[in-house]
Amino acid sequence: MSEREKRRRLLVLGVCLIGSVAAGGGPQGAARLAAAAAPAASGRYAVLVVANQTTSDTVPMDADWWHDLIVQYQALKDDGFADEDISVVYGAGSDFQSQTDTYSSTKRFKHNITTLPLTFQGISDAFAAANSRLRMGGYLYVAWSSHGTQVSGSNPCEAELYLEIAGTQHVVSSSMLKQWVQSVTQAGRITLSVNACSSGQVGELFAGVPGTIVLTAAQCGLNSFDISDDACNQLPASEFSYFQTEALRQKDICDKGVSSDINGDGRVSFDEVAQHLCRMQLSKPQVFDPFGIAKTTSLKGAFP
Amino acid sequence: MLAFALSVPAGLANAAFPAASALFRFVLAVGVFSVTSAPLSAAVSAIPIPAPPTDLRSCSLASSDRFLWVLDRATKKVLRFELAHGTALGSFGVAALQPVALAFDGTSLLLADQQRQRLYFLDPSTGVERRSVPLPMPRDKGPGSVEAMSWDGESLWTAIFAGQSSSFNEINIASGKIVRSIFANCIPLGLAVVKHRLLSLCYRAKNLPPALAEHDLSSPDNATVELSRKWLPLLDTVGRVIALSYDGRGRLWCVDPDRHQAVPCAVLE
Repeated sequence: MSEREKRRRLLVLGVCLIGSVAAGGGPQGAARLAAAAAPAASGRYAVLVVANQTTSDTVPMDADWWHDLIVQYQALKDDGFADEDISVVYGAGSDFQSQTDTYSSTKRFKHNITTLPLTFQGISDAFAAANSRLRMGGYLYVAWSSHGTQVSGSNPCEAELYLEIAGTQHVVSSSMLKQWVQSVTQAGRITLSVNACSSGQVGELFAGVPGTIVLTAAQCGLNSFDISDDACNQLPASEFSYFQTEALRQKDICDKGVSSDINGDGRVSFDEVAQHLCRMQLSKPQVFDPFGIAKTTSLKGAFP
Repeated sequence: MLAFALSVPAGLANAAFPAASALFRFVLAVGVFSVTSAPLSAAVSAIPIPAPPTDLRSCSLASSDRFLWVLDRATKKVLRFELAHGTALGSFGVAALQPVALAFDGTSLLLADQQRQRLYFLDPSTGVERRSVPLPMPRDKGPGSVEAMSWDGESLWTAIFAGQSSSFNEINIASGKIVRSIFANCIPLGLAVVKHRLLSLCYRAKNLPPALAEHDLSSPDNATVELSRKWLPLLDTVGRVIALSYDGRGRLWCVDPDRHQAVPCAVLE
């Protein structure tokens, strides 16, 4: 067994199954960015990036992009995140107009949620806003959702993973994503959730970054899946986002209770999220926690 | 009697058509569908498919302006029908280990073998093998299965189910290479490429008819092609159909597993 393989095995805490994510937009985006540019004030910040676009509410894998974004945003709101502490990068900078009550941002949150367009600049601005807004040592939550394309002919666990930016000629390499996350130097603890095929490669890449937990939808070389028919509302959802967010919320998108607070301490740590992900049936997620901090990290950041 | 299985990715098949086996048993008992179906009217609106001994969960379609071929994956047989009148013209077996998809290139019937990852060129009347070539898969999109194929006049297209990396792939037969690969952003149940229009049947839910998507292949790059998707209406009478083929005369054909028929499922303008 190579040293790299040994290290990889040590880093992988949980190996079970997959998923996907989504995004949205709105005119209040400028105000929120302005707030983010104000003096650092917040103890936590979230960046949600969905690098694809939804065109239908009812077609699995197409609808997943937006639907998963809504549940990510809802998980943050449930935990008390302020709107101005969340950057959402999606599409042309405006929300998908869902025809469902469940996934309509204006019905669920009473406002649009997308703050930035899906461009390199938009993504970069979101991370800059996080660094500007966070106080030193704060908590950063990043949820990235896109296609993941392996480099042909290479070992998918060692090569770069290309994260396609839909509608553009660009792809984001996993190294580029790492640079963006690390540009938030104010963050003392980070959770990165990557919903993409072969996204386990990203976890490998972050192995040496202190204070960072990485959740990925699929092991390197494997794909992630949709679970529409098994979702509580029978609407499209990616398996990974569905299970991850219901663990964080302690309830599914239909608001039915979920027992994810395993030790009953009143909060869901990312170690407990990792255990919940083992319920996935189609995909094989991974959780990378080389520094053993998942047990003391929740959406509120680090706790004793 | 021949078996038919309609084209649904394996993980979805059982959930999508739970009543199929019972329906087949009923069909066999009453003898509603037989191999010797009588010719229909000139404006044929449906072609009965002989009742299979197994279940209707996966099949593939190919067509010309005169004939329709239905691949029954379960029995490894191809049934041939005359389109104008819906006449059944018989069937032939195929030697593939895992036959999964059909296409017609104007001369040969193309058959994909998932297990061998080869493409067979068959005599469209007899099924006699003329030649075979390797079938390339989009390795950069992870492991996947061929769900459907279509010939656009110059290239072969495959629809690959690979979870969220499902894709449509243009293959240059001469070079044996994939020259274009587009994310499907759906679970593909059928594929028909007509000039610059890539039409795909996308799974929605086990109780809903699928959706018909169109991509504009004349767009300059893959990213634009992916975002060019628009949704086209299926005919009102269409149920939970699968598979897709264009007859060259303005009609897209599908297979209705509940009614044991090949049916026109959309009209192209």
